[in-house]
Parts: sequence; C-alpha cells; structure tokens
Amino acid sequence: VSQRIFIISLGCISAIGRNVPSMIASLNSGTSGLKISSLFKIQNEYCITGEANISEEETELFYQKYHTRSRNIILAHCAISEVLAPFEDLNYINKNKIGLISSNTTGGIDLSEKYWAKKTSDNSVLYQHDCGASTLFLSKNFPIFSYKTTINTACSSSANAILQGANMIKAGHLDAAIAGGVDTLTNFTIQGFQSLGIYDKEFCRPFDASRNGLNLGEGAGYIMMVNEAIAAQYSDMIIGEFVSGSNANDAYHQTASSPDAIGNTMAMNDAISKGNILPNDIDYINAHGTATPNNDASESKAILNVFTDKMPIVQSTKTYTGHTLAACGGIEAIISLESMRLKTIFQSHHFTTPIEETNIIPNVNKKDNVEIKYFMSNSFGFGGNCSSLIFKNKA
Amino acid sequence: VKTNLFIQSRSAVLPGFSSEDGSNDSSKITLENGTIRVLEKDFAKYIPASISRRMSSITQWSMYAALDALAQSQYPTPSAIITATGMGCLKETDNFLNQILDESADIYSPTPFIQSTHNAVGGALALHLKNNNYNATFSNRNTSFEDALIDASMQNQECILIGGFEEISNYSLDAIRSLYPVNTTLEEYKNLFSATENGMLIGEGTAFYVMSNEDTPQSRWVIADVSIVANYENKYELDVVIEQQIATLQESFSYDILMTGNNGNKIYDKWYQYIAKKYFESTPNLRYKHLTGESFAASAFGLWYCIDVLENQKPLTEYLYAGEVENRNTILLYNYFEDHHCFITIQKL
Repeated sequence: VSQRIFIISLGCISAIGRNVPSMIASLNSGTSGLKISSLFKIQNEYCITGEANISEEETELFYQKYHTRSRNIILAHCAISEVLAPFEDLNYINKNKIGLISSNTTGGIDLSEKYWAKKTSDNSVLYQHDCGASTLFLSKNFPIFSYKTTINTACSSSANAILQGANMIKAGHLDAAIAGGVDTLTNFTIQGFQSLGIYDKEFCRPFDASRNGLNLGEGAGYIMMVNEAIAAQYSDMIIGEFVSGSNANDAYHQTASSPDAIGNTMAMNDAISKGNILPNDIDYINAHGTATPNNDASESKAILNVFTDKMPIVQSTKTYTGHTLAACGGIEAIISLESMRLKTIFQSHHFTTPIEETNIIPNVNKKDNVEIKYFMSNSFGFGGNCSSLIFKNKA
Repeated sequence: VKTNLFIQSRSAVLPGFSSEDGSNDSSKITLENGTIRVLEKDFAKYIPASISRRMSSITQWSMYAALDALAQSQYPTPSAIITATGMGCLKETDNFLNQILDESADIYSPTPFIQSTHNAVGGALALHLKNNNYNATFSNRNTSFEDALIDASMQNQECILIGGFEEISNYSLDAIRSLYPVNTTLEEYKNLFSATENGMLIGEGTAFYVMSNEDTPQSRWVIADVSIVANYENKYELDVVIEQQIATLQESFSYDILMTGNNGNKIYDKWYQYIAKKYFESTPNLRYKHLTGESFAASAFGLWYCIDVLENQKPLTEYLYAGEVENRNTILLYNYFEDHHCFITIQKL
C-alpha cells in the first residue's frame, strides 16, 4: 500500500505578506506586491521587484539573536516559524524522523556582493555564501530536525524539495518533513536576468501577448508534510494531500524552454500518471508563468499538449509576488492550497491579449465558489529542470 | 540509511588527473599556496573542443568524468542524473560578481550568470545526452554527496549517473583562508599529516559514478549504507552519538579497512585518530585527503579512492599506510566537517 502524504501546516513570506493570512488578504483584495525598488536599479534606471517587508532594524535584531544577516535565513526563518506556530509540541512525531528539505539558489550572495564591493569587511559573511549555509543556520535555530538537505535546481528548487520530502516519507526515512524554499532579491540575480534580456522594466504580464520578461521577487514558502499515521493525530489540521510530483528535464537549452514543450509536458503528464488520475481531474493549474516570452509560450504549449479535453483554470500568481526563484514552488503551492480551501481563484493583473498561437487565458477576475479537487503547480528552471506537483483537496 | 546502490563504473578528474590515460596519478600532484588543483586542460575526449571551450572548467571536468563513467557502463543514457556540489560553479560566480561590480555598465555578459548556477552541470549533462529523465542537484555543504546518494537509493532505476564536484575560485580561496587554517607552506603532499604547520589543503575536482538500485551482472561494488550524524552546537555528547553510530554499523558490517578524512587540521586529525584507535583498533586506517584536499565534495572523492583500494590499484603507501591489509571487501569511509559526520559503507561484490 502506497503511503499517503498530508499537508498539515503552512508558512510563507513574500512581497504580499509576512504570513499566510496577510498574503491571502492581499490576494483577496487583488493587491500586488510589485513596485519600483528602492534598492536595485537596471541600467541606472528603475527596476520593479517584489520585496518582502523586513526592516533593517529587524535584520539587526535577528543578527543579535541568530548571528547572521543573511536575508535567505531571515526569510526562511519567518516562514518556518509560521509552519511550527500551531504546534505546542511535536510529540506525535518521532524525533528521529523529521526532516527539513530546503532549497535556494542565491545562498548568501546578498552578503557576498557587499563583501565583494568592499562594503563590509566582516569575513563571517563568507561562511554564509553557499546554499547549504541557510539550511545549516535554520537547523540550529529550529533544533528539531533529524535530517536536513538543500536542493538547488534553479527555479524548480522548492518544487523538487517538496517532491523529495514526499519521497523520503514514502520511503519511510521520514515521518514528517518541512519542505520548500527561499530566495532573496540580489543584484546578482537581477542583473543576471537583465543580461539575458528577460527582465521586464514594466510590470510582468504572464500569458499576455505583450509580455516582455519577469520581475524578480523574494520570499520563502514551506509546507509541513506528514505520513498517514501522523496526519491521523493532527486530523483537524489537514489542509490537503500531496498526490504526486514529477521531475523531468527539457534537455533543450541551458536557460530556455523548448518550443515543442518537451520537458514541461513530460513533467505534467508524468505527475498525472503517477497520481493515478486523468488530466480532466485537474481543476486548477498554478502555472510557472514567469512572463518571459519563452516560458509562457512553451508552458502554454505544454498545457495544450496535456489538457486536450477539458481546460483547467490557469493562473500565474507571479503578478503578486514576482518570480521568487527557488521559493516559487513553495509559495505557489501554498497559494493554491489556500485557493482550494477558500474555493477562490484570485484575480490576476496586466492581462489583456492572449498569445495568438496558444490562446491560454489566465484567470483575470476573482472567482468564488470554485470547487478544486485537484490542482497542479508547475515550476520550470534553468538547466532544463521541469517539475510539476499535484495536490488534492482533503475531503 | 540502507542504500543498496550498486556501482557499475566510475570516473574522476582529481588533482593528478591526466587525460592521456584518464588516471589520477599522485606523481603529477603539485601544491600551490595551500591548494591542490586539477591542472589538466585537455577534456576533448567526449566533448569536442568547439563545444567544451564555451563551458566553465568545472563543467568540462564533470562532463568528462560523467561521460567517461557512462561509457564504461552498459547503458547508453542514464535513467536519472543526480549531482552534488557544496559551492557550485564558483569561478563563474566570481566572474559575474566582478562584472556587476561595475555599476555603470549598461550591458553584462549573461554567460557567467548562466554557468554560475549549481545545476549547470546536471543541465549540461541532460542537454548533451538529450536526456529527459529525473535531474536533481543537492547543495548542502559537506553532506551534498551523501544526500545525493540517499536520493539515488530511492530512485528504483537501473542507471543513475551521480557525481560530486567542487572548484576553487579566487573568492572561495579568500573565504576559506580567512575562515579555516590552511597549510600554505606545504610542498610535498605526502607530508600533510606530519607537517608542523597546522591546516588543510584546499581541493577541487569531480567524481562520477553509474549506479543502479538492483544488483546487475555488471555491478562491481555496492554502497550498502550512508549515515549522517549532525551535532549542532554540541547538542549531544559527540563521543556518545558517534559511538552509537559506529556500533550500529559494526553490527551489520565487518570492516576490513577504515578510510578517514584526515585533512591536515590537527583538531580533525586528532579526532579521526581517536575514533580509529577506540573503535577500529585492529582495522587498517587509510587516509586520502593528501591526494584530494578538503572540499564539500570530499566524500565523492573519498569513494573514488576507496574503490581504488578495493581494486588494489595502488600501493597502500599512497594512503600513507605502512602495513598490509588482509581483506579488501568492506571499507568504511568516515568524513566529517564541522558538525556533520558522514559514514559511507562500500563493499566489493
């Protein structure tokens, strides 16, 4: 009998809120977190980002307590605190079988940039440069994990972290996993995407014919996944069920998706078949939808490849949060789980004209009373990494 | 974790590597200012130079090792690609950081940004092999390779291409030297553990393996167990948890050889010596980091040398062991860095 996996707690921070309730309030009111950055510029002009609200004072307080100013650690700490907040203790969970499966792409590069530019001489920042450093700090801040790891598969990182959490629970290595990811706005990534010509100076427009690139955001999203036995102990906390996930590779280009949508189609089809469901069972897709010309064209094609009979509601919530890189799979799984719980598909922004070839129309206006039994969350990244996750309503 | 990963083939580009015969020859090792590096420049055997010269050096080494391991296996293409790197593609990270330091520049070259990503190697392999299968990259300090092995153990696949890699960059050199003792005056790698100067050698390289979850007629070695003990801020009495871990392993396995990750830092070396003496008194204790240096991929490199020992490839004096070994069937590879203690059990089939 295959082990079922349930989600019993969520934690999130992004440009639209410091926790899940505040994020849902922003989504409900259609309030985007994207705005002109006070910190970053592109070609000496303005740059639109989705910045999380962490003040300098807070950063200093965090530093005094946890000895780091690494924003990845602060953001992930916020989100994991929220995941753990509902639990007085974790006594129903075997202390030797609880894992932290984290992910990020930027590591401590926000600090390394300062050191590199000689804006700080504090060499302790060098200790926080790598991706694993944040997970290490988090394991010390929350001394409950018997196993921890860090995944970096670019923009599909936290989707793969959730998949890994599920696989480790299924294999019996873990009974419970907090899985997700975090990433920070850095000049490195902003100039990186700009150098590729895919950073839109204006607000990003997913699935719109006029789309011209992404806006970066920052944040963290983590979910707590548990096996059936533990879920039974926390039955009133069950939010949804993890059904299946797939990791495929496009094998087409280091940064671009294939025009025929090979990898993303494979990931979506494979997730559906692993979940023993049919495409028609999917009611909602939280698309990767970065608003780069390439991603949205390819993802649209993939959606048409997979959903030949009934088209689910398609939505990219990156108009709220920006593209949060390694965090997006976690954040978007949480937004979708909340959509499922509230039966609400939130409005999106800046969409006017569909892409001619594919004609995928994302959900524009807020929709209430939408029964979502199954949803799919897509995350695609550099290196050809394509991951799709499927979740199910708890009912 | 019981892993049962059956290894069919392997290839590594480590300090001393020569593309002439694909060997890692210790006589070719030279040290420079506390670093032990890959000096070979020619990696055209599997990738035409016209393509490989556009790749970063770490990607070139990794492509070579991965494709070489695959070529030695019976499989044309892997059913999963899993890579492990603590620091990622550092030289390209340096390059892009250098570019953006010039804030007045209008245009930056995207090439180093693209190549700086940790999954650049896994992506390049998928691209070269036109491989659409599972593809993951673990970046979790010195347990990256162990985490990749645990992931591999859950794949239920015949051909898992799995490897670990690290490279030295100027930035990382500064970082490591400012954070840890490095033996910058050592001239002869063999003297790492007898040197009066305290400190490690900073290493780099790549090692790839073809593994399956089932025993096949082509399987030659098996990774039977991967265990990680984390002891943050001395939460536990380290002696006690390590003793428990070793006792558990010794219940299941009879070790012929102990391979430890002594690195030249006297604190580390003392600890390994203490463990070897206390729990492995009659077991030969071999060392390998004088050949590879210290890095977050040290376990991937250590596995390569453990297999060399299983295959009796080099005299034991290479591992600074003067005695003889009775059997070469089961090796325990014990590596630790800071709070993470890793144990890999490797057996000859």
